[in-house]
Amino acid sequence: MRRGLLTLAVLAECGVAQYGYSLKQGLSQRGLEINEGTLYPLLRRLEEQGLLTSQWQLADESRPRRYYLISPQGQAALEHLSVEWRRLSRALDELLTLEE
Amino acid sequence: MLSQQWIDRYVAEVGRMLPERNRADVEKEIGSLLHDALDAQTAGAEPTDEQVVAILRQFGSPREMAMRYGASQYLIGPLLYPTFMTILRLVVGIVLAVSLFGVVLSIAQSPPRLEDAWAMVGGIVSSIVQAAAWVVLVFALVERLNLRELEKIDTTWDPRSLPPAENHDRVSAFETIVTVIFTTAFLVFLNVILDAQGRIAVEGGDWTSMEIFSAEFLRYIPWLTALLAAEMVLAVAALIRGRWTTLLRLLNIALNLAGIALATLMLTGPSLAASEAFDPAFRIVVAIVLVANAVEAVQQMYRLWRSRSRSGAAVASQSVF
Repeated sequence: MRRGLLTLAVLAECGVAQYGYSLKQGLSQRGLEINEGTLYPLLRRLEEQGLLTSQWQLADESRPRRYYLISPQGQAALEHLSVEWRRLSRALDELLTLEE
Repeated sequence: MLSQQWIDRYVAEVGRMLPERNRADVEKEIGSLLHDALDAQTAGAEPTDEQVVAILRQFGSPREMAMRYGASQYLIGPLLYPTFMTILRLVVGIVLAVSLFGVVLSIAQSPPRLEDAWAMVGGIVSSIVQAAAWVVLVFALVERLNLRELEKIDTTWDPRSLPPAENHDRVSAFETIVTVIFTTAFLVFLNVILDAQGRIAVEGGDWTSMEIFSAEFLRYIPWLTALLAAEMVLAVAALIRGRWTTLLRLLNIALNLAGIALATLMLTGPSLAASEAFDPAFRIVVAIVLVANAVEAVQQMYRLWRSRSRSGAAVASQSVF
């Protein structure tokens, strides 16, 4: 389940081009701490699935970085996953409120 | 040590475990990610060894990293494994049968000496290991080449193709192998080792046993051979087909009936052994074979009837809805 949520978070963050470290920072500022060994390979897999596109770009310190951007296919997946997540989240909220 | 050296070491270690196709690219990316992480810590200054070590720990062990980047984890994966085991058992069984056949032949040709016996055991072991190695190699190649196709098999799976849980139609590879081994051994005994006088004769050797079988028994040998060979072919055909189909069962019943007829002939005919003293023992063996054939024929008929009435029931229950 956590992996699915991570995919959702990464797709949502990659609306603008991100490189690995900026993405990790962005997620961590929102309270999502994801370790490098999980996050970076995930980017690769999402690209292989066609949900992200990537290219190497020279960064300011003349060192190349790989930037990831959401693809149209990724956009569709993001919309689908968001609907799914909201539905799940509502259902769980109701369940938890009942518990209290 | 310079941070670049640490990074190079880590990246090389991960890369070593990665598949060839995207190795260079992933190596480059991990290198760049490590630089970013270090820069963020030290604001561009050369980090201390402790700082580099801490970052590398955070990234995780090279093995784990490589695994997550898609390093292959299986020589033969879970999708292929069941098929692999079936084929491995079958191949090892056949190699064993053929090797034993060879041993019997060579013993028949020259009386064995102790050092030959060791060489034979060694030969059998090494041919089994070789055969197993080839099976592993072929499956490992299939694993590398064709995994996507294999996954499709599971997604196109149809519940209606499930066989009944208690399935006597399924063919056991083990039973088939045992049948092939023993039948082969017996055929070799009848046709190669026995001479025309019913003696155990060592070809080219200077030793022959006394006469064991009567001339009457020797006349049955072509019939016995044909029957046993047909049974063996049928057993292998059933294994290849994967289950006992109606046709295979009918053929098997026919062979059992032929076996019963031959055994009855042998029992009611003249002495089977060269010496009258051994004749009762031989007849007991033939009687056991007769009973075994009868039991198998009845069993096959029952299963044939069961599977027919079951499929009939399935059709009836479908038409209700």
